[in-house]
Amino acid sequence: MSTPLSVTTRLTASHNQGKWKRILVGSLVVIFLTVAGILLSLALGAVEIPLDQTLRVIFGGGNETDRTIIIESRLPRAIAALLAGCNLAVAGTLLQAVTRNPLADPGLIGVTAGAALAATIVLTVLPSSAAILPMAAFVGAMIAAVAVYTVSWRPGSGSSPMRMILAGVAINAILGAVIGVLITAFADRIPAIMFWTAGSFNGRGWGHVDILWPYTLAGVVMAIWIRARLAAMELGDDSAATVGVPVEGTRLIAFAAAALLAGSAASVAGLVGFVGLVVPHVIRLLLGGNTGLIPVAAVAGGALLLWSDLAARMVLAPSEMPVGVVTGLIGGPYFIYLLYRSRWLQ
Amino acid sequence: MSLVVKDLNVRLGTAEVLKGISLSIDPGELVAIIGPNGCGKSTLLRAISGVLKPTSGSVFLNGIPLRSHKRRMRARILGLLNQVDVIPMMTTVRDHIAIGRFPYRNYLRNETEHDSMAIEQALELCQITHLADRRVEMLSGGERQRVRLATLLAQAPSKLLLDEPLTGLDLEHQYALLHLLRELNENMDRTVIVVLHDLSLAMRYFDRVLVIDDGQVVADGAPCEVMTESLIATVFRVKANIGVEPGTRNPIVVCQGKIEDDDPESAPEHD
Repeated sequence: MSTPLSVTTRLTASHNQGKWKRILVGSLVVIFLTVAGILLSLALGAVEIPLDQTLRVIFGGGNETDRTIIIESRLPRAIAALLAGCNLAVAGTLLQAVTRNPLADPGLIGVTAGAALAATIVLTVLPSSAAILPMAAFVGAMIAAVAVYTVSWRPGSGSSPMRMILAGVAINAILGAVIGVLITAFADRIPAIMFWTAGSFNGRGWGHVDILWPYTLAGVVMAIWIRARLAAMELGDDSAATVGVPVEGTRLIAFAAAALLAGSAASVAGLVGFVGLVVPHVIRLLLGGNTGLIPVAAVAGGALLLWSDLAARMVLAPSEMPVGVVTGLIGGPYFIYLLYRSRWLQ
Repeated sequence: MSLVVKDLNVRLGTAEVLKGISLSIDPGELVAIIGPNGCGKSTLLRAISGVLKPTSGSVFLNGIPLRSHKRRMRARILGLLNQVDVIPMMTTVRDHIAIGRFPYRNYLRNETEHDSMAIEQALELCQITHLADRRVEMLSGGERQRVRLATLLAQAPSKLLLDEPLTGLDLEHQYALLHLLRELNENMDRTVIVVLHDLSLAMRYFDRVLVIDDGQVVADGAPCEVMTESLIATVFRVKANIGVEPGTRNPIVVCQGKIEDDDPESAPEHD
């Protein structure tokens, strides 16, 4: 520590080259998967449309039937899957950073259980008003998130990652118990509840896209806005505060953004697990750090859900699998592979 | 920029950790804070740095209450190396140190050339340039301590607060750190305030020693005036001899052992 003031910039240059190369490659891979996923989602289905026809429709041509299928049915569904996946991945990234817990995901802060309880109430008590399902699920998610934050908050010291996690566990237990009571009382509604709980994009249209995109836009902008603060908070609250980060405010912003992102995703798609937990890790492994994490994870989450939805539609066609089942089946083994292989996690 | 602490009280839970501490530290001072475990040294540093809001009393920077300074401006003046070692996920050494540049960043701009220079210099000063691309959780405790120190140096505050910075460092790096702090103090006019446990080092490397016991300042002044055998007996309950090393004329503290409760020279009741 006694050779001051002779600065070599050589290392920075080589270091940054390697880093930016990884980010460039990572972004290109993720964008390629997204574009390919969109094309296949538009082309494949009960009626198969050849790729050249699909491209023609995208650029404003094509015949009337193909146009109707693609623009009115397949395109909005694909976009809804992209946006929901993006929301879940960004929500997971935010929560993992502010709770400093690698296992954090939207389920942790009660959003998932809140949406599930609200949906269960609609499906059991108010089965005739299924149209309010998205709204109800969103409201349920928000109420649960506010409850978790309130329980974790203490006057004077604010919230803390540990209290946030424990409050989430407690609220989840309560909500889960109420869902259990409802399921027992309305056993005949179990299939509908199960299908919603496992998540699906079946029949999702432009209306659902309109529900999602404002949250996606706002959530991603907020996440990118606070990205440097989140990086500092990974060193602990005190260390973040000494470099000038408003710790409590940042935690609240990240929490609120994650709740809105995951709540809107749940309201449109039902419960899709796994995306929020695993995508941030996969992208961190791919990029080798936190730089560029939020935008790349956002697109990757979208791509994962898009491909999962495609598989959900196609594998057992003409019947559909719940998309949450597919995310688990694709993502779980891939994550294990990464854990096993990666030199980052040795 | 002077640093003035006025009647600082901090209660954590039900415990009165700081009981009316007042002191003033001029720019360019090199201060060691010593005291037994749990005496409030770390809490004092946290309160001075602005991380911890005191129950009552204030810290003034240049006559203005700390709380009235903008966070980032405050972070350019005061930097804290704390004891809590939170290991971040998937963070390289360089990215860790880059966090020290937070007070100079704005929302849209990424790292500037100036930031890169500061990071590079911090890496060199802490002799961890070769670790720059390694991940922090892969390092040893001592290496991680140097990474945390480099993060503080990259932050480049004019006043550095360090809470037991020697923890986990081997002998070479302990002395390298102490010399670095002296160098920062003498050549770059930085104020340096360090919580230490080694009394000999406190006497040898620092211009002023602040002794804290039970949440209060019990002694404050030049090392040779403050550090006496009776003070060490009272505050640390250890019997010690203070001498001078023949060759270097450096003061040294040699501890003979713990003072037992039935010892005739016994200090106040053990808490």
